[in-house]
Amino acid sequence: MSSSPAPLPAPAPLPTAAPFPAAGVPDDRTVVRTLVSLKLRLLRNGLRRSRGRAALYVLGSVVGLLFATGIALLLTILHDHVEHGAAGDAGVVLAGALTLGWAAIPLFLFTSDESADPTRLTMLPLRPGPLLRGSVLAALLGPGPLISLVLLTGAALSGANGAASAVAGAVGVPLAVLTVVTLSRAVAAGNARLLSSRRGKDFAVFGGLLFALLAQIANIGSQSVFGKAGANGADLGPLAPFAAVLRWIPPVSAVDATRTAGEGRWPLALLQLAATAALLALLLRWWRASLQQLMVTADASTVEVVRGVQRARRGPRFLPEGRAGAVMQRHLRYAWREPRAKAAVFTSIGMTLVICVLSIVQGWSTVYLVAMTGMFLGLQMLNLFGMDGSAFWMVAATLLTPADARDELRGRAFAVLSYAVPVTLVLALVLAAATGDWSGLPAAVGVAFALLGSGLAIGAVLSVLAPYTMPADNNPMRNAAPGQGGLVMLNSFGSMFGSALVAAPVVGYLVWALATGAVTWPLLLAGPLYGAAVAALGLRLAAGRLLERLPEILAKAVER
Amino acid sequence: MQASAPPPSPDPTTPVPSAVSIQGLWKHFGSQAAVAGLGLELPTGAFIGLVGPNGAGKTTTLSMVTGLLRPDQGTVLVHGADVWADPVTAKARIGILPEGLRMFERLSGRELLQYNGRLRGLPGDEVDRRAEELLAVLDLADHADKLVADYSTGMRKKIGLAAALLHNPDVLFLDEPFEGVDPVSAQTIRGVLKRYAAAGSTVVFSSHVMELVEQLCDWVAVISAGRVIAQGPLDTVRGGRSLHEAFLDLIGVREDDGRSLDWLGGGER
Repeated sequence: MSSSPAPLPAPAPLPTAAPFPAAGVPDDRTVVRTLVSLKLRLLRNGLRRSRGRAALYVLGSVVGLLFATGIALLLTILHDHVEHGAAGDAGVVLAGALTLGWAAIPLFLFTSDESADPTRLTMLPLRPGPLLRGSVLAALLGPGPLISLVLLTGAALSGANGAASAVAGAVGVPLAVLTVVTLSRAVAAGNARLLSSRRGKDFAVFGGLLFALLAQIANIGSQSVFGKAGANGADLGPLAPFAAVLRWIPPVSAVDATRTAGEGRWPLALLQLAATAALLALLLRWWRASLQQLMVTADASTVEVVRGVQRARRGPRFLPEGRAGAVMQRHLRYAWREPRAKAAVFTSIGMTLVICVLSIVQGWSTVYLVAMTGMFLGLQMLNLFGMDGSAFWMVAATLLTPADARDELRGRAFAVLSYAVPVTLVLALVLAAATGDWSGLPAAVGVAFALLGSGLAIGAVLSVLAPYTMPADNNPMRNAAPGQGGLVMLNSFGSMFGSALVAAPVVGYLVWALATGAVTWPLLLAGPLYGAAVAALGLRLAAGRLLERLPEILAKAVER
Repeated sequence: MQASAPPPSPDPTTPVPSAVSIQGLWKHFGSQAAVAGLGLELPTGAFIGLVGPNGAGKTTTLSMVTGLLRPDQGTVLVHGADVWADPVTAKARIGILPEGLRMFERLSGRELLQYNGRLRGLPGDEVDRRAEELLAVLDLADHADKLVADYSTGMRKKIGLAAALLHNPDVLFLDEPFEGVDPVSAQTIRGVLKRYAAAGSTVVFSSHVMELVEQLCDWVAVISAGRVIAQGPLDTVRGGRSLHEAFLDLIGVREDDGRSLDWLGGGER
C-alpha cells in the first residue's frame, strides 16, 4: 500500500496518513497468518503442559470423530431402511441440536479457550477486517469443526437422493459448518465483556450445571419416547414435527437443501442455501462490529458496575452464637455465591434428583432410595479446608483452643445439615407419594439420617487428615489440582463406603426387618439418634487433630 | 558494614523489651534453605521494616513468625509467648496481612470483618462498632456491601488491614502492604498504621520499596538469602547514605553500565 504513492488521486490529504502505516501497522496477510499460527501454537503449548492431557486430548478427538462417523453412517443406513423422510427428519434434528450446541459453547468454554477471546488482542494495532478473516480461519482449526463437518455430512446424506443432492450438499455442508462456527464466535465476541467478567464466569459455571441436568432430563425424556420400540426398531415418528420447523431455519436449511434438491425442487433448495448464506453474512457483520467495539472501548474491569450484596446483617436468629454461627453463615454464603461450592452442592442434589426421577419414570422406584441423599449430601463435608483455598489462613490464624476447633467443624456441619435435612425430608415425601409406600417412609428417613450423620463424621475426619489442593483457576469441573487423584479417590470412596460401613447397624436392622417382617418404624427415632451420635464423635476426633495440623492443612490448601 | 552484625542473643540490658524475638529460624524447601538460621530482635513500639530482594525469605519468615508455616528449627517469641509452643497466647496478640494468600472473597467487605471479628471471639456489637469505624477511616464505607472479589488491589489491602486490626493486636505483621496500591489508598494505610504505632503497638512490614521504608520506619532489618545481614535503627543501618544505596551495598549489587539495549529509545524503530 505504500509502494506507489504518486498516481493516487488522494482527494482528502490527511496529514498523518503518509508516515504512519510504515511505522507499526502490520499488513493484512501477516495478521491473518499470525492469528492462524497463534491458534496452532496455543493448541500445541496447551498440550505440552502435560503428557496425560495431550493423550486425553488426542483420545477425546479420535473418539469424538469415531462417534460422529458412527452417527453419520447410521443416518446414511437409516436412509435406506426406514420409510422415506424419517431419516431426513433425524438428520435435520441433529443439525439443529448441533447448531444449538455451537451457540451455547462460548458460555462454558470461553475462559478456557484463549484464542476465542478477542479482548486479549486489544493492545495491538489491528484493523477489524484482517482480524475477522484470521479469526474465522483460526476458529475452523481443531477437532470441533471437523467433527461437525462429519456429523453435518451424515445429516445431509440422510435426506439425499441422486446427483442433484450431491451438488447441493457440496455447497450446503461447508456453508453450514462455516455458519455454526461463526455463530459460536460471534456470540462469544458479542458477549466478551460479560463472559470475561467475574459475574459471567460465575454464570457459566451454573449454566454448565444446568445444561448437564437438562441433558439428563432430555435423556430420560427420549428414553420414555423411544423406549416403546416400534415394530422395526426405533420409531422416528416423534421427530417429524420438530424437523418440519427446523428444516426452514438457517443454517439447518443448508443441510436440508440436499433433500429438496434431490426431490427436484431446485428453487426451494437455492432459497434454503441463500437463507444460510444471508445468516452467515449477518453473523460476520455482527462479529465485525463487536470486534471493532471491543478494540476501541475500555476494559470491562474499569467500567463494570458492580452490584453489591444486601447490607450484611449479623447473625439471624436461627444461627448459633459465637464461632459456630459465624462459620455456618460463611459456609452457607459460599454455597450460594462461590461457583465451586455452589456446583458441589447442586451436583449432589441434582444427582439424587435425576436418579429419583429416573427410578419413577422407569418404575423401579422405592421410598428407600432417599437413603442415597444422606450419602451424597454427606460428601459436602469432604475437603472442607481445601475448598477454602488459601483463604484458610484466616481460619488458621484464629483457631486457638480445642473449643475453637470444635466450633469450626460444628459450624460447617450445621451448614451442611441446614440444607441436607430439608432436601432429604422433601425427597422422602415425594418418593413415598410416588410409590405409595407410606409405611416405609419412617424407616427410610431414619436410615437416610443415619447415613448423613456418618457422612458428616467421616468427612470431618478426612478433611483434617487428607485435605487436597483445589486448582488455582476457577474451573469448577476440575475438582482437584493435578497429581492428587489418589487423595480425591480416598476422600470420595472413603466417604461413600465409610458412611455405609459406619451406618451398617442401622442399615442392617432395616434389611433384617424387611426380610423377617419385623417393625421398621423405630428407625425413625433410632436412625437420627445414631447419626447424631456418630457425627458428634467424628467431629470430636477431627477437632483434636485439626489444631495440631493447621500448618500442614494450610500448605495443602494453598494452590500452586 | 556500619550496621550491627546479627546479634548473638537477646541482650538483657536492652532498655526496650523485644516485641518479637526470633532465634535460629530455619526452613528448607526441598534441598534449598529459604530461611537459614535467621535471628532478629524487634523492639516494642517501633515501626519496623523488613527489606530484602525477592526470594530473600521475607514471606517465609513472616509466615513462620505468625504461626502459618511450621519452621524446621528455631523459636519465635511474641511478647514472651512462643508462637509454636503456646499458640493460644501468641496468636491472640498478633494481626496478619499476608501477601499472596487470599481472603474469603465471596463475602462483602462488611461481612468479612464481621466474620473475622466473630472468629476472634469478640462480642457481636463490638465487632459491628469497630468494623464500621474501620470501614469509614479506610474509605471503604461506600464499598462495604460489595464482594471482596470485585475490589481493586488497594481496596483488598485496606480490607485486609481492617481485618488484621479488628481485634487490636499488640503486633501487626504486614507482608508487602503497599504492593500495587494507588497513592491515595497508600496514604490512607500509612495514616492508620502511624496512628496505631503511635499508641505503642509494634508494626512489622516487609517491602522492597526503600523510599517507603525510609519514610515510615524507625527500625529496619535487611534480609538476604534467608539471613539477617543488618538490623538496627534506621539511621544506624543507612549510615549517612540513602537506604537505597546502603541496601545495594549490603546486598553487593553493582549498577549496570547499560551497554546492551543500545537500540532502546531514540528515533529509529
